Amino acid sequence: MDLFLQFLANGLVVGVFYALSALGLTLIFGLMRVVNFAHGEFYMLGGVVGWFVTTYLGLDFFSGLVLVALVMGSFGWAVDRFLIERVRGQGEEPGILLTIGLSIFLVNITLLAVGPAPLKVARAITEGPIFLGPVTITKMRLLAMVIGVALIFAAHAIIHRTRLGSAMRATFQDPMAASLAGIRTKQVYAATFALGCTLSALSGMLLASIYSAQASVGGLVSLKSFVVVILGGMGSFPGAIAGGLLLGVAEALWGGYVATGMVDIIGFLLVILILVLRPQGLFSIRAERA
Amino acid sequence: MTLERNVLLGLGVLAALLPFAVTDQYLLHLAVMALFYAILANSLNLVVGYVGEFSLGHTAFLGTGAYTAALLSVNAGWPMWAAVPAAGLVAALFGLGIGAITLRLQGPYFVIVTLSFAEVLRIIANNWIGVTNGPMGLAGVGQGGIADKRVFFAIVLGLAALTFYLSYRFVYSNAGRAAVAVRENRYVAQSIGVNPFGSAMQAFVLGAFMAGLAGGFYAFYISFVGPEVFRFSFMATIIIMVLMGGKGTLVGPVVGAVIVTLLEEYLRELQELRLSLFGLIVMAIVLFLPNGLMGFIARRREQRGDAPSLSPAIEERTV
Amino acid sequence: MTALPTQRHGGEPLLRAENLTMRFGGITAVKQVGFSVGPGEIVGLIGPNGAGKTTCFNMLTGFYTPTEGRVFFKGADVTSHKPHAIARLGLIRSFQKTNVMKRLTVFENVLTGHYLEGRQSLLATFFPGERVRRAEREARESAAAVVETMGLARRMNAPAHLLSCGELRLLEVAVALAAKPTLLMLDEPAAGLNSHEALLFGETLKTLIGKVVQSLLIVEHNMELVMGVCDRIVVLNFGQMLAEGEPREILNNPKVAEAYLGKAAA
Repeated sequence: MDLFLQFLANGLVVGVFYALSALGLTLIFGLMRVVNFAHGEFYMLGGVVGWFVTTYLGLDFFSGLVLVALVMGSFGWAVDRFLIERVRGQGEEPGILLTIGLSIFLVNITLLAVGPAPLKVARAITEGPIFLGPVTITKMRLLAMVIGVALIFAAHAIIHRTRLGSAMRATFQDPMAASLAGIRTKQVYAATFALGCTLSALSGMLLASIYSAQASVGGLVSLKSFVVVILGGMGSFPGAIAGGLLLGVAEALWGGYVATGMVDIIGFLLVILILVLRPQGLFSIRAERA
Repeated sequence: MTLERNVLLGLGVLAALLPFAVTDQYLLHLAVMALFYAILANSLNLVVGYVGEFSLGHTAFLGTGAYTAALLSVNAGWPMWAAVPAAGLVAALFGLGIGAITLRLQGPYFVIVTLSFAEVLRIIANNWIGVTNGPMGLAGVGQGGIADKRVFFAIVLGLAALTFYLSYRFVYSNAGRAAVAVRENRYVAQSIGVNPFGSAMQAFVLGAFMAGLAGGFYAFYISFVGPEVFRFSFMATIIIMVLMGGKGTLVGPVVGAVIVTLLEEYLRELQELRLSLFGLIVMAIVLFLPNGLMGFIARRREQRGDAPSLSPAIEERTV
Repeated sequence: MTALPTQRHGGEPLLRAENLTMRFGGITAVKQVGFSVGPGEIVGLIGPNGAGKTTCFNMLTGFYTPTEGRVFFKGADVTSHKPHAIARLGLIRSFQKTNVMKRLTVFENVLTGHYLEGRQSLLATFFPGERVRRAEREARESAAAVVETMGLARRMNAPAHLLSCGELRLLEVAVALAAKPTLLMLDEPAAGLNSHEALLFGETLKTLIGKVVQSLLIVEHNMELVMGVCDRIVVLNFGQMLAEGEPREILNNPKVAEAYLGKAAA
């Protein structure tokens, strides 16, 4: 029973991380209907840039986090203005191909720049275990969960409580009407993409400080994020959280009780099952907009 | 239609003459790989260009074909002429099963689930050590058989001829037109009696069969099969070939396969640089040549020919 | 093009809708609509915007499954059959928005429409025998003939996206005709045509009856066209049947005038 609780706790922690890393993907899809295959690379760049600013610029973790948000926000903005904007309104396929190309480019250019080795990102706090009854969890993981939840709330607040957020929602409901009402829709699209990119990058840096940053991690992150987002329903924040927790727990239990070798298969099997039985995702009645 | 057939026939004749002109084993190897990729690109093109859905899981069929041929050869001692067709058939069966699930989906869901199937198969190949020998892979496929690359070239040319013949027949048949109708306008297709699911399935299974043949050949040619056959970078290479040449045409994938095979070879030492370049190429094609090289050529012909009033604005919306 | 036998199904109408009802969530889009189309008839389905005409079309052709009610075609119950299965029985429709295959040429569009006639096994696809080759030749000849019937011969090899609005309407009908319908259903076939073009279009439609198709069911807003072409008219309003009768009766029906023009005019 204690073992089960530990598996469950591990699964929940990993699940929150999964949810966190899928937020950027679900935001960009939910609002912009762009399936971002470069999502994992945005995440990866967050970690690598975080490594760079904490190692070479000597910043501490939190100032590094802020700088990463700025850098990756601008990057996302530029990607939207220079790439995504050109295929807007042409359906999903060009966007998918464009971001696949972008992801191949980003991985390999990063490999050229920093090599394939794992990179250490400065930690926010000194590491140490915390005991909660029979369950052990590390401080850093707990902190990451707290920051993750804060990020989720912050993103939600931006979308629902700010002028930019209402401009976003207006633009994605009816771009024509929004631009007639004086909203500069191009800026709004770019801002949304930048927000999604920032979210991905922040989660990348956060998790890189627990594990490590690595140029080639993006593919796996993209895949897992797709799994999470499909499980929860594309475009839904609560769905992403539920999907992340489900995936985390399912993997932890499978790994603990069945077989460690094929843990990664669980997510794909779940996705295949879900899409056959309930294409709109497990937790949303209709794919709710973020 | 006739133009495309003649170009393909011309390329085939050129390829058939090649072994008489070239004896250099390295050049022959390049020619074999180009043809192998042409078969693969052609098979993916049936899904991407004629079903109109973007499959990221085509390596599932390449891989099952390669593993089938390798297992039959290593464990049962099947010769190449029997193992390669068997590889195609097994891949077609997988196509039937995977298609039954994925072809109900559209857009991003189709993309992700096809990718998921390839990943599932990769993980299984990596972990089912008793059968696949895990990450070590299966070595010694068709051992001690053929030394001269010209024989392999003849075999792959034969396979290419077969697969392009099948594709040509399919594309320019009633069934092919039905697939195009589904791609262009699902509702109209249904209203003229086309079963969209069945029609997509035909193209999908045909594509799987051809990818399986290519996989079976690959196993014998390299004489080794490991889980890398399911890898995404393989997939990316095939996608680039199809996009660059022009999806929805038969000549396009051949052109793409030749160009990309040569690029791969020239930039062999510079793996990351090469792939960075591929990434840029993909983006450039999507932005500037959405119908690939063949689409570009067709458009130039159209512009010089009978449609002078085609304004760029209209064109952009319709391509 | 061969003349169709005007076979009557034992006095049965060709198409019969009984008690059709369609609810989307809480909204009832169509309520208890019933009418029929007999052999040799041209029937118009009219009504103000939002009256439920297109919803009816979608239920008749299998694109929607009715919440209640049944659809019979040639005496067989086809309710909730798949769209392509219904099309294979000879009930072919067009769509309201210009629905053609835009990147294909006029000829290719119509040739594609011949799908049902040319269905064959995969084996025959790969290794076409004389029979298949002949079928292909005939389909091509027939496609050219249909394009000419619809007056599009001049545009035979033009890609569909270059056609004018009027030509697109003709092409939609041509694609549907290529499928050799017994009953052809057209959803606003004259939308976007000026009144002169609409009249010509109406004349073209009339020539089809008995020769190319047995019956026609038309949803249309252009009253001149409807009154000039139809044998019988069914009027819908707010999803319910308002009236049914010959054009003259409908024109003089005060309820219809009220539905279209508001109470004051009645």
